[in-house]
Amino acid sequence: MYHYNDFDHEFVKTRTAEFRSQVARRIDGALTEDEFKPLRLRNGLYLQLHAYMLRVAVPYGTLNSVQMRQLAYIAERWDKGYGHFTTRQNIQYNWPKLGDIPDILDALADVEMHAIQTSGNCIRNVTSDHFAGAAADEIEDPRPTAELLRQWSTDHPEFQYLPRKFKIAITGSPNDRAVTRSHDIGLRMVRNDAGEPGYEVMVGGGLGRTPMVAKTVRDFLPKADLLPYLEAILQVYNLHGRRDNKYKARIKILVHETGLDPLKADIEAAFESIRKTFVHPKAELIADLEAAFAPPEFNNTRSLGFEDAQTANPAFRAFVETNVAEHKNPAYGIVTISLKPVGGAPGDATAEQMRLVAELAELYGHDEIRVSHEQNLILPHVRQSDIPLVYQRLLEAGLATANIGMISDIIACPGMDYCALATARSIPIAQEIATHFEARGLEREIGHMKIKISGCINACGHHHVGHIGILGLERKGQELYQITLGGDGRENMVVGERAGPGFSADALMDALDRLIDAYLTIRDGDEEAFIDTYKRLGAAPFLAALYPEETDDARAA
Amino acid sequence: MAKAFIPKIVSANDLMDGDVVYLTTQNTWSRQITEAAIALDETAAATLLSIGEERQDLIVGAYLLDVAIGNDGTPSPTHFREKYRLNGPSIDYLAPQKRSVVDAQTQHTLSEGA
Ligand code: HEM
Ligand code: SF4
Repeated sequence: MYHYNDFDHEFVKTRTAEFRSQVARRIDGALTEDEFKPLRLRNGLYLQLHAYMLRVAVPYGTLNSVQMRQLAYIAERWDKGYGHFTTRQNIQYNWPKLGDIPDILDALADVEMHAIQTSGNCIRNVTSDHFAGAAADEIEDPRPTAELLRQWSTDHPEFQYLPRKFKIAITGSPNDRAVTRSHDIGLRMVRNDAGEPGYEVMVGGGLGRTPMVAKTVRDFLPKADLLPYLEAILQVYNLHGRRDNKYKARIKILVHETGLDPLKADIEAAFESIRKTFVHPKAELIADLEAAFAPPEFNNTRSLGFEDAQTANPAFRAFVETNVAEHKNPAYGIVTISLKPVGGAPGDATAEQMRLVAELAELYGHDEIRVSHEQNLILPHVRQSDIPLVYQRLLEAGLATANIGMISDIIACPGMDYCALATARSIPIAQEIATHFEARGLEREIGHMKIKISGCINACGHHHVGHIGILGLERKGQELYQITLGGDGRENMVVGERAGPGFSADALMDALDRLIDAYLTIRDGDEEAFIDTYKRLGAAPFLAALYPEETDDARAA
Repeated sequence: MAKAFIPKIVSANDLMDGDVVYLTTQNTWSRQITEAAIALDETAAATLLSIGEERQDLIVGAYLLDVAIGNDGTPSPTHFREKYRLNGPSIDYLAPQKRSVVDAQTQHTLSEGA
């Protein structure tokens, strides 16, 4: 795990002290809200419907147990005892008070955390594969590079006032678990013909009101060229990205309006000129970063306990099937802790739950924890023989829901229960779907399914890449839910297609029932996932199920 | 024909804790919507809003919202967004993951010696 050096400590402390004085000046009236707002946003502080919200960065989703305990402490001391893990691998507190924010930021700084780059038109926190460093299919741990990007982007003088926010995601596996193609820049590790690792570079992805799949600008970029190449992309964007219209300011619009080839030419030209004078990070820094993320010392002895426990306990076997993924070390497993208990709020964890996860990481997980963009927590390195014990402890704390990748493992943004921009609620819809399909006893039968829900067009809940996406809108003073089908967030990302007129909250569950029942009837055997049936048959049979009596009236709705 | 004026009140968030507040007839901010001053025409609404905007040291973001007036004279928001603002999150947010603990207790526990 990366530890702050003196520079980092000083930087975060200075920033916190600066914000403390800004908060004090806002409270005593020296700063107006118009003056204060950009300052607070730069420090992760938003105002929502009922309270402030503090967004805390979890760079590339990696935490240790000390940090997790501090997050629990903050939740208890200054919030209402829980936090919300988000699709950006961050944690948000929903009820902090303005006067407490400086103390919270100090408490974060004590454990090498902060709320910088969580807002504003800067390069946001880099996100990554939540299985980084553990996945069996990984070429290289992407986190040393992610940390390098963090250091390069934090307070980069040239990129403080970009046209709009800028998000970078990186994965070290050819199988994309970080939805890299939905980011302004996606980096996916691949090997060239000589077998050397490098990056496929993708530009211009984004969700929001104009969803776009990032386009590949380089099939293979040698690792050593990464920083000057990214700088070239940002330079082109900073220069040509639109600033006249906030909704057209993301780089995806630039890619779209300029066209891929001319843009590629611009980037390559900028790259040629930058690389000549680019001061590469020192070899020692790279070595230090690699060392910081070196794999823990694995204990390679396999034991039979893991298999025996599965035979003895069907509930544990079910947990292993869905929540334990293959580790690069055959004696280990990657344990995903679901923050989607049936009927709970997706991504929420109480302080006690956070503490338990910290304890388990410490005892059985080489002190490593990850936050996934799917709003779950991960213990990336657990010896298989310890997994039964870990399961037992999770079970007692209500954290052993065996549903990863299933219909109740839903991503949902805060929606109108918290968010000031929302047009409809999303959390209650997620709760209802999970509860409904559990009651119907269909979850296992349905199998792999990704439902993603956003409470407005900004698409924080990734609905565009849900196999079933749900977008909450307002129509005639009512919440209305629009369904998209066939979205896919993997390396071959697909933006889901809008099915048709939206449904009221009351009609939504029946519509989903018809959709799922149709899928169960037409799928090619139990193993064919919804998304694969959709890809094989196209939208038609699903639309027929959603809109059985397609009339002009319904169309007009 | 001119449309009937929809009564309005002024709301904002409290500077210190973000609580939803309403501008009262005393030109103060209250957490009780029952104490809100109600504007019954355009002019009154504009005046109310400008008063609200002058008191920025205590609040963030004053704005007008539509209300219906009940038989007892108290205002209630007409739009669902304002209803959620008034009543708080519609979910059981103080015990977000409580339900799951109940689930866990009804599940199998791992057999001894595994
Ligand atoms: C106060 C709460 C929030 C506000 C005000 C907010 C605001 C926004 C806005 C305005 C956009 C659209 C940006 C654009 O298209 O240019 C956006 C996109 C996004 N936000 Fe949020 N958001 C909030 C909460 C969240 C949460 C809780 C998450 C994670 C669960 C999140 C993750 C994202 C993601 C993944 C995108 C879309 C991807 C993209 O195109 O960048 N946001 N957000
Ligand atoms: S999608 Fe809309 S409602 Fe949901 S968190 Fe983002 S801005 Fe808020």
